[in-house]
Amino acid sequence: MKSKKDTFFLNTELFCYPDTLLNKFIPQAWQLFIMKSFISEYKKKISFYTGESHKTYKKMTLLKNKLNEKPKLHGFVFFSFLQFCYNKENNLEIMEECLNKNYSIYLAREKIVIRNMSEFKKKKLDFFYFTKTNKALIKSILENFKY
Amino acid sequence: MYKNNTLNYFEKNGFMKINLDKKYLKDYVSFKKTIKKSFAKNFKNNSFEKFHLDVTFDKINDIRMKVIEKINKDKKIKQNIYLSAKKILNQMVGPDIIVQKNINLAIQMPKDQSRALFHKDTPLSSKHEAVIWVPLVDCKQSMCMTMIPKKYHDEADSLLKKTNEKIYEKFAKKYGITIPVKFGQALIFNTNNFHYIPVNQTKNTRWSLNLRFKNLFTPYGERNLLDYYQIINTSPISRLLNS
Repeated sequence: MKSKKDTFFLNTELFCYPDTLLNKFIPQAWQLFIMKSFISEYKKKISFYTGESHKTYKKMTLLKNKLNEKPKLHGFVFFSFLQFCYNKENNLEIMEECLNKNYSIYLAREKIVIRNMSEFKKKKLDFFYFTKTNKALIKSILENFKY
Repeated sequence: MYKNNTLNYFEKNGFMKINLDKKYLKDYVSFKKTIKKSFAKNFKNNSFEKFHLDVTFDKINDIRMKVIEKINKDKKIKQNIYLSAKKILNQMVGPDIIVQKNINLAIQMPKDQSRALFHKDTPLSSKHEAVIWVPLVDCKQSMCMTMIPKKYHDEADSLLKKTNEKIYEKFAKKYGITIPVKFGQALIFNTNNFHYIPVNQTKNTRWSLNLRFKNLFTPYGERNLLDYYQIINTSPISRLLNS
């Protein structure tokens, strides 16, 4: 069986998740452009992209379904960590699930790459307090996305 | 009258000079050696102070960008800057402290006209931020930044609509304070403080780093945790809440 280290350089494809809630401010085409540009620094490319819908964005259900399919990918690129913050509590456990399944995570807006649980643990406090210190921002994004 | 290296002076004026913790000076020295080694073709045999002798104005920004890219790959530098000023920073903004993710570097060669204009960093930056300015060479006279004490800020604010740089220069000369800062020392100032960078009229090049710190729980400007800042120190209670 190939280890994460072996596959890291072999598989260059990332599944791409634009932030549906930010489309009004940064159209999806520009989000894709930014994500593509960011991951190209790591010699990665997008295999496919999809955004959560108005019914799934809170619990990131599409992402969870994708994870259950066990896709052959290097990882996932998100437009922003904000996408993990639209639930009542943040969705850090989904991020952990991605990493536990050997997928890397790229956050374009924040220019952050998390390749494994060890790197995640180093950043966990930052993620945790981002949600706590940005309640007003998250609330305003959610209010702008009412259907 | 408070001395310029006390927190009382900082509270009154918005800036202060500090001595960096001597324990970490060797790290700054080795950091300088690394830069010199990596950019040997630009330095030739010159010191940091005499860097300009073999570099032209049109090349300097390109070199600066490459040095910034290089120094930001080294994760230890930020930590060293924090640790060498920890005692003051923890009192000033801490103990739950976040730091700018990327270190800035300024290289100001003698007579180089390209520099930031008279300004303050707010409201783009939070008012709750402290900037640490760390020279890599001894700085005196026009190698130093001119800081405007807090009591003149309203007047400085009214100047911002003017477009003539000479007005700023005159204002900075009249009200500004220039504190000589040697290698091994640093200047800490609040982002809401106006500052002016004169043209370097000395015979030496100024090399300086600058890095921003703020408390995790104070209001943010347009820059946020994760995209611009990262946590560098936390209190036991903040760690407790996340465990």
